[in-house]
Amino acid sequence: MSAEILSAIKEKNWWQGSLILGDHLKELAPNIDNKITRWVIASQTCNLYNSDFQKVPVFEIIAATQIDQCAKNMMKGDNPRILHVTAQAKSETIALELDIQKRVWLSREILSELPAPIYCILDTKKELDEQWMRKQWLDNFIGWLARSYNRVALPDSFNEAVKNSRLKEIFEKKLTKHAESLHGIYLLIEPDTETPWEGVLGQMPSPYLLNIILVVFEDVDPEPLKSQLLTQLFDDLIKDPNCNSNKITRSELARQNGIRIIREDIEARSMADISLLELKSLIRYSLVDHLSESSVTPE
Amino acid sequence: MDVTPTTSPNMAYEIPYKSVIEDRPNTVSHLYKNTNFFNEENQTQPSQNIQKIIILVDGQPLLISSGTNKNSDENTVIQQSHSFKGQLNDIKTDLTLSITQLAELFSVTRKTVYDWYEGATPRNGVTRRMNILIDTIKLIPADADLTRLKTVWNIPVSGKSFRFIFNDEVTDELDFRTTLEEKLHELSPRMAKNMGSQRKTTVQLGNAHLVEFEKHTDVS
Repeated sequence: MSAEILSAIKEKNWWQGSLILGDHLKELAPNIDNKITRWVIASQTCNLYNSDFQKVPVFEIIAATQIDQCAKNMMKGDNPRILHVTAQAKSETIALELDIQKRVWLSREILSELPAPIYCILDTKKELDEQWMRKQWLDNFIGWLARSYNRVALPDSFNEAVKNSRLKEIFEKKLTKHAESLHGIYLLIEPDTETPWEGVLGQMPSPYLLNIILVVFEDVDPEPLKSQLLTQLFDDLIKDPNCNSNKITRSELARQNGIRIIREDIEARSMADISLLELKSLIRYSLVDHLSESSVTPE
Repeated sequence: MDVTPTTSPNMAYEIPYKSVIEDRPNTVSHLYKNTNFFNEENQTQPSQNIQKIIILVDGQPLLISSGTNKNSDENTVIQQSHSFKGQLNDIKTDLTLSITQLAELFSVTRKTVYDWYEGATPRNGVTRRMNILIDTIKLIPADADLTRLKTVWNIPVSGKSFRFIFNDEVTDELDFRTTLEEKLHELSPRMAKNMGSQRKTTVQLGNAHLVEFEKHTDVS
């Protein structure tokens, strides 16, 4: 019996990223939300094709809505809850919005009974499109799913200080304006005390030391970006929120808010110049919505 | 380079320090860093206390003087270079280290390095180690790339790593200096120049498999 089911799953070419129509699940999985019209397979393909139905009895799907087109700021997986992707059929491409909060596990047998998928989220092949790097839809989808588990929570006091020191606006402008040259902004956050912090990062109290590393693509010169960031942090004067008549640098404001930044700890490097060892301590800054602050109540 | 003929019959050229250092990084700056021409006392003397020295740069005699009108700026450069912060920057540049790696090298916290940069005085042991390190790295074989030291300094070749030796207790300075020098020579084949990857692959696995290493965060 299992062999027949498996054979049907393979024959229909189910894959991670394949699209299932909600209508097709109405009878096979009557308990799931029938308002959702599209689902995408989130389970890894090896698990779909595993021959042991006792060890791998189920597969996971995630809710999707068809949209007119993908929004630029939703395509990279920076938003932890929503992702925009495209799904391809033989002669058609559609845009989808995926909602990570709406996920369901179903029996793998169901896959064998569904009609073969028409649409699938795929990576664009290098040979077919010069813009292939920006069209790695399946890769983005998988990375986004994985990050929903390993995304690091930072202390609220740090988040607050980043916002109040107007570092946040600098980070976000860079990520938007220099999206073509900047791979990412990486942070190393440590306590500004001699006593090491042994708890989880999300509970580390202020004050903090902050190392900022701008990582650029391999064919980009990192120096202009570094020099601009140094100016923004240490030279440009902004209004002192504690005294309107005063002007202050962002680094001074950050120090008042519990974050110490020094020139020597601001770096810009190429992707070719960063090691795995360093990445283990660094956190990549993402553009996310304000609800990620644990103490903020949703409106 | 800003080169001005001098009126002194014995001097061929007179140039400010900064120009020499910026224009001849591999020759004069090295000599400049290695030579204690101007001791601490002289650095703080008024500008009329002129000191001059002639050196050869690419076969050309050059005068370095501490008594020009631009002295205040130039002496500041000298002083910084001899300060601990200046030394930190020299090491940071020569070995291409981040603050994190500087902290690792000296086995201190990042906070300590921040404090050093903001003027805190390091312990005696640290300054001694720093001075010896600065001297020792000059002796490294020419085909070794100093910027690769950080990639090998934790490898316990012959039982002890470079960092272990560097942070070990110094009982005898000469012995420490010799041991450090030997360790650098031992590691130098592993720091050979042009060892960086030049490969270009056609296989691209995308970013998703990097999630194990790349930790994103919610900063809002």
